[in-house]
Amino acid sequence: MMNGARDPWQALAGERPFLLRLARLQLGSQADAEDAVQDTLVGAARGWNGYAGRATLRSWLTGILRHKIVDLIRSRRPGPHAPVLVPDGEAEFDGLFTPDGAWHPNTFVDTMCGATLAAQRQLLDIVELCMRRLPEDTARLFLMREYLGMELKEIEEHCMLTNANLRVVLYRARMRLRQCTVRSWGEPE
Amino acid sequence: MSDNITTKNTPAITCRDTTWLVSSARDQPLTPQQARQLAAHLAGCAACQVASRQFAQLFAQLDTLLARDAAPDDA
Repeated sequence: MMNGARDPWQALAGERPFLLRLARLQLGSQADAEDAVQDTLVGAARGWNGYAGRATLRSWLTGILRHKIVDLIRSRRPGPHAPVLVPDGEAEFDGLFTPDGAWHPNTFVDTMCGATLAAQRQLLDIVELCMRRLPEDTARLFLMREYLGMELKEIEEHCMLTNANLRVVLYRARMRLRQCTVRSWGEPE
Repeated sequence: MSDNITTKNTPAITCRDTTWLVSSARDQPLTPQQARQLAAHLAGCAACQVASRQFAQLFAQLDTLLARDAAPDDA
């Protein structure tokens, strides 16, 4: 991101939709999400001169927002959401494997990223789009782990989930993301 | 599921088990036994070598997208 090349507020406002999606998913309430994002953007505007483009703007803001969301979540135990109901098993991936657990040659996608898509921003857009296709409960739990960096135990307590259920949810999210991204990597530009 | 893998004499695991271990390793360190099983399977399985590189690429992109690879910062 070219710091100083644009009006700071304009640059900050451009990242607002991404931040708002992350916040809304975690906080449940639109109003709380907007407050957290607004705090983030105001704080960033105040600290703009110290930002100096050392990270991408989105990465800088995403890091700031993380602290605000974690503080809010921890301040309002138990979780604002109903307990997550996790269906048993991982039958949805049966088609990927043979009955004895090997990758099924008919469904295995061997595309690597970078073969057709060189731009980092494009690759990140693919991951974000694939993440938005996850069911909401799955995405929320997945991002508690992957974005907020909460330990499994804390997520289990906060969301009233067993360790086994949480691990199934995280496994499913990663398997689905892999399936979705490798297909996109394979598409011609 | 990785917990169901028997732990006697580092028995072979399946490709499907391997995906569980690759996912679990993102959340907590594998046990030495699991790490050995994963390494042994990967050494002999071309498809899992591809899949684990795909997961690694995906995880690296997630780290960037979600600012997990940046230094802690606040404003």
